[in-house]
Amino acid sequence: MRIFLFILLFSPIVSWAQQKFTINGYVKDAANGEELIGVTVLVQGQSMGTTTNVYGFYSLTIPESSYILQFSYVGFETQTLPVSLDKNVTHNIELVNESTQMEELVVSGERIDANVTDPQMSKRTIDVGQVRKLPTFMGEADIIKTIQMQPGVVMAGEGSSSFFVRGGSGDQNLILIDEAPIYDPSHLFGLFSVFNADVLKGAELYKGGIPARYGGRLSSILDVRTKDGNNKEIQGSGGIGTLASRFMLEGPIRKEKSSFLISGRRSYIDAFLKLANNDNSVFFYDINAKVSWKYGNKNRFYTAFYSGRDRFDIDNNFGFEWGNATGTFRWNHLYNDKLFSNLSIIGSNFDYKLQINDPVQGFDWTSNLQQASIHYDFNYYISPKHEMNFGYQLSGRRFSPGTITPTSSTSAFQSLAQEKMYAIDQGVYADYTQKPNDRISITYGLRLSIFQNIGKADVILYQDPRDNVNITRIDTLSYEPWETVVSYINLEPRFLFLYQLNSFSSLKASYNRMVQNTHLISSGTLPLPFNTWSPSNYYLKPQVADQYAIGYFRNFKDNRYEFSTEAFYKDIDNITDFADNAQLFFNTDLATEYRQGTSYAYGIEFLAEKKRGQLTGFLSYTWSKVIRDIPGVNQDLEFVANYDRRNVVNLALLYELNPQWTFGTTFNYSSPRPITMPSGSYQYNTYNVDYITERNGYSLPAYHRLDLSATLDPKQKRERKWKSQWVFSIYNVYSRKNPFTIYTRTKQDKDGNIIGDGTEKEARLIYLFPILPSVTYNFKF
Amino acid sequence: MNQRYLYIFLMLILLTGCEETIQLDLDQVEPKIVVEGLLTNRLGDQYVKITKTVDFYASGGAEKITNANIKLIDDLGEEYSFNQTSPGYYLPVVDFAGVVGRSYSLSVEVDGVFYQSEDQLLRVPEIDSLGYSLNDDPDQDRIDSGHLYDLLLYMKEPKETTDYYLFKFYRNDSLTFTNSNDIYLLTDEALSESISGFPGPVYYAEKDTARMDMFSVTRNGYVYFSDLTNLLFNDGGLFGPVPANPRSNMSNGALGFFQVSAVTTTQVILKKKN
Repeated sequence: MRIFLFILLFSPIVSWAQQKFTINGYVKDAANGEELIGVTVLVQGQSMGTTTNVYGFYSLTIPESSYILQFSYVGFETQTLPVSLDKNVTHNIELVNESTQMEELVVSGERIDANVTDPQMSKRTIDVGQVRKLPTFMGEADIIKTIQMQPGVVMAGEGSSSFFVRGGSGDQNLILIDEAPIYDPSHLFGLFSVFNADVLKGAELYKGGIPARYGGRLSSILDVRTKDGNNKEIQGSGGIGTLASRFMLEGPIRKEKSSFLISGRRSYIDAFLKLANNDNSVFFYDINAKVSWKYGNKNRFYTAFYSGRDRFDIDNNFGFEWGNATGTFRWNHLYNDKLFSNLSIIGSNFDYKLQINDPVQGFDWTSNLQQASIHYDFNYYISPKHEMNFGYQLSGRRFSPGTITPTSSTSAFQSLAQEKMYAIDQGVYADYTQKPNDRISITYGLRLSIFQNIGKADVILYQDPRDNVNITRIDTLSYEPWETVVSYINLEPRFLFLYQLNSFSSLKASYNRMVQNTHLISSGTLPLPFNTWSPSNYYLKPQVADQYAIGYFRNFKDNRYEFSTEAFYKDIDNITDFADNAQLFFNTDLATEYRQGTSYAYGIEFLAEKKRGQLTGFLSYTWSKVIRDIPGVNQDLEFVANYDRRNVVNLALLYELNPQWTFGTTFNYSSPRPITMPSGSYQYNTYNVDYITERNGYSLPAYHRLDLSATLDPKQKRERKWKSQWVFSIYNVYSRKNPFTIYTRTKQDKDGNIIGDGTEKEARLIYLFPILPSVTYNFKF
Repeated sequence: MNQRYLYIFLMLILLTGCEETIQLDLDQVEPKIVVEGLLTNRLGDQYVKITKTVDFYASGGAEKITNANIKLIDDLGEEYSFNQTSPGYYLPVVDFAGVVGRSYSLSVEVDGVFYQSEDQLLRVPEIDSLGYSLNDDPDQDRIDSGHLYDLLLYMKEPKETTDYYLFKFYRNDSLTFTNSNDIYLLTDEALSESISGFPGPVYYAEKDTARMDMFSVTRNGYVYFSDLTNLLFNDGGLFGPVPANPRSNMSNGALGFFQVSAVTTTQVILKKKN
């Protein structure tokens, strides 16, 4: 009894007196040296631990003692490390892939029970390995297609790389490749995305509870990271698909110290067209390159490049192209055992060009957007119960919405340029995670965003800035280069709360405010590459979203099955929309077309997932609603957004029958999407004109589709380095005629002859793809 | 510099998909008055047509309004009276021609409700000449129909003002379109002063008489016809603008437009060329 009392009384003092030491290091994949993101590091027998950050780094500061550390990660064998901690130590760990077959290089995963223990909610980690085995469209594994299946995410329809997160529009997603923003992630107008699955390490989608280090878009962050390159041995891989081929080479420059990766993908539709003696040409390509190196254990450097482009030529006299190019230089530095830092220098360029080659009608139309950024981000691992992130981010942007240049001296066109726009964005942020006890974790964060629209600029003042017919300019305010036209300063609080009910279930709540100062100038449902962007300016106010979410998370059967449900409410101020009949191309009075209003969305999401075992996959269901209220649009009445799909069900399953065969299936059901359809018609001159009464008042038929896939990894001799893989896919198995859009026309027969008196109208439904099988051959050596 | 370039392009690329007629399930809506009025500086062009919207699937054409009262007055106070000559068609009692620089106000009264508008008669530049040339790469439709010639436009376009023009093309005196929904509209914002051999959108065969009418339109007129083009070629708002009623110059919610234009006509007879 006395002894017990003694311990009780003195143990806090003992623990105070006891010195604390830090153990840190990087966790890597043993096969190729790729750093692993989100590995769980647990102190066995105690409820202490951490996870590796996005660079595979962990740091734990715990009292002097002997411990057994456990490193676990989905898809890898758990590894233990005995340590007697009497000084600060560094241990770099390599985990071994538990799969014996030709596995993807990196399985992006997370802590096995993260679903219930991580305070982060509304986040989805995309497993690239899974994406590559799920059914594909024309043989191209595409993470955007998997993103579109996540709970809370809605797609507009087929053939689009757009997605809509929790009632947000398509331009409210920040899409990053190695931290560099991608302004248009589409190839072939959206049939494919710019992300070549071969080079991806992993992707994370944040739909809510967005960490303070991210800012700039309202609804989601899609953070895509590419591989660093194998630093142990030279490795090549690639694939031949129905539409495009890929090749990637990676390897050490100096073994274990530095590595390179280079990858290319190119479509070959143009080759087929040429064979068919067709004058039209279309192609796209992607190039990814990366060099990574270490300098001691404290410094790591990464340089990554991406460039992708689409080009269309029609009859040799009409050309159209667009593309993204990004570059990122990163420097990871350990200031001390607990303070991890990353400095990134980022560049991004998006441009498009329209060319008409004709002596008289010829012109070039170019538009581009450039961004340069510096991010300095810190992770401070104070103790297993306290963690802090903070940083500063600076971006400069230049928008060149359009320049017309005649292509010949005989052209009927003259040179014309829309004014360039400039903006500077700064963000200062910090968040702090605290675990007062084993059940509770709280993260509070704050981001200060400072936006400036700067000169050189001429701001035109109008008699009535909302009159887009009789435009009367009354004055022009001129600003010198770098002079501030207008600045917008916003505080963005972020909050996460976890209450763990028991070892297998928890409740979470989150709040985030997001501010968006980059606006897409488009009134269509789907963004197009030739839409332009604009910074907030004299007339355009920043869009601001507040989102509240709560969720219940539960794992079953030793974390084999995960279940979660989340409800959210999102409120957007100053959502950018445009007047009815807005003229958004080459309009020097674009300001008269802006209409900003409010939007609100709410919904509930359910997700069941299985991450391990022979059968893996997920089933999700989302109910959501999104309303817009924009003064000056739809006669000032509220209307549903055109991406408002009330009910969405998604299923993705993979079944590993044996080491050779894996079967996959995906199914999607999306309830009807609103569209604006006429209520009547009338004649004007010789035209049959639709009479419109309500925006988004009609519903397109529901969307549903079933896809199947089979992946074959043929048995091979051990000594052979060459490994093959076949992926067979069937897209739209039951050939559903899924609605793409509807248009109206004067009633006519099959051959285009007018039926009746020429005043009758009919509606035509357009659908894109019937059943489409595809085969992809992948190899690795 | 028309959005239509983009639409045509999109149609080519994306809408190579399949399509089929579907039945829309539409509610009946309250009909609206539609005014179609034209006033030019040419005798015999003036008319006003008054109709009502009909249900989308209605047959038999527009419902004509036969009890309208039309009042037209210019900015000097001169009044012109109109009479109904056939159901829904109202023509001037005494034929007259509009004058460049004048503004005209139209007032239409139907069942006690007034619909008003005003538009101005702007000058139109003279066309120097129309030429034609054999197209070196005609598409199959043109080969099949024998319309192998492009019509070429030569003119000087005044640059001191922003001007808008509407074109109509006639093939042997009948109004012709490449696509029946086409509206040939031009703004001079991106145009250079000298237009030399700009090919027209309508094609001709040998021995055809090609005629082109060029109308000046006001900013209002340009906005209306440009909106109308967007509506006629709309894709359901998928990529392009959301379908909306064109911005009319008629008050009180009436649809349609009262167009006031100066017009110039040029024609050429196509002779064999190599």
